[in-house]
Amino acid sequence: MKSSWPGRLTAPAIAVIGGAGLALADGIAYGRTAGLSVAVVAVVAAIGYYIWGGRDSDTGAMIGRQVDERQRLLRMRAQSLALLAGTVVGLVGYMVAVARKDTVWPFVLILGVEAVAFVVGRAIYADRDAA
Amino acid sequence: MRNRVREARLNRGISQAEIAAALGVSRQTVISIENGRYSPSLPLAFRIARFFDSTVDKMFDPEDEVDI
Repeated sequence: MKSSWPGRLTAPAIAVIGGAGLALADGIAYGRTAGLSVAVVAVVAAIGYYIWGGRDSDTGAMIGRQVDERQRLLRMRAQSLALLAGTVVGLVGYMVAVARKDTVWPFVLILGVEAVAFVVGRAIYADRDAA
Repeated sequence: MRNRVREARLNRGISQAEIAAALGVSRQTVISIENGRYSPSLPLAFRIARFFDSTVDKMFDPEDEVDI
């Protein structure tokens, strides 16, 4: 059964929900004004995502969740590069934290989640079409 | 990969947007295919060939870029 949820609303919804969580955390930590500022940024971001998601471009299609096979491949490559960048940052962060005798668990967590996600991803997508 | 998509499209006098809609892909993807920057998947290649009442081997020329 096909979902009736419009794909174009997904990114704005994530921005609103994520923004609300951040605004709440910020509000608790730094007060109501700080929380409201984050909420405003989240709403502006959600509106921006909605507008961008309707544009006739590769990025618009990705945000609007209406990608074709080339755009899916493009998104996959971009996500792969982002993961690689995250891994490098995690590794460098871990080395710096060890050298400074700082807390290392956040970096171990990042690298561990990436490694597990890679293995799980391989298992899930092994028999599926790339496109 | 070289192809005859642009040539076939111009012969039919249709726009990139029209062929994109007929094939169920974006206009950007049609542009990429026509420019040889993107090699379509086999199902899409068949859809393109059928759209132009042709065959895949007539529409697409792999030259020496065959990756096995």
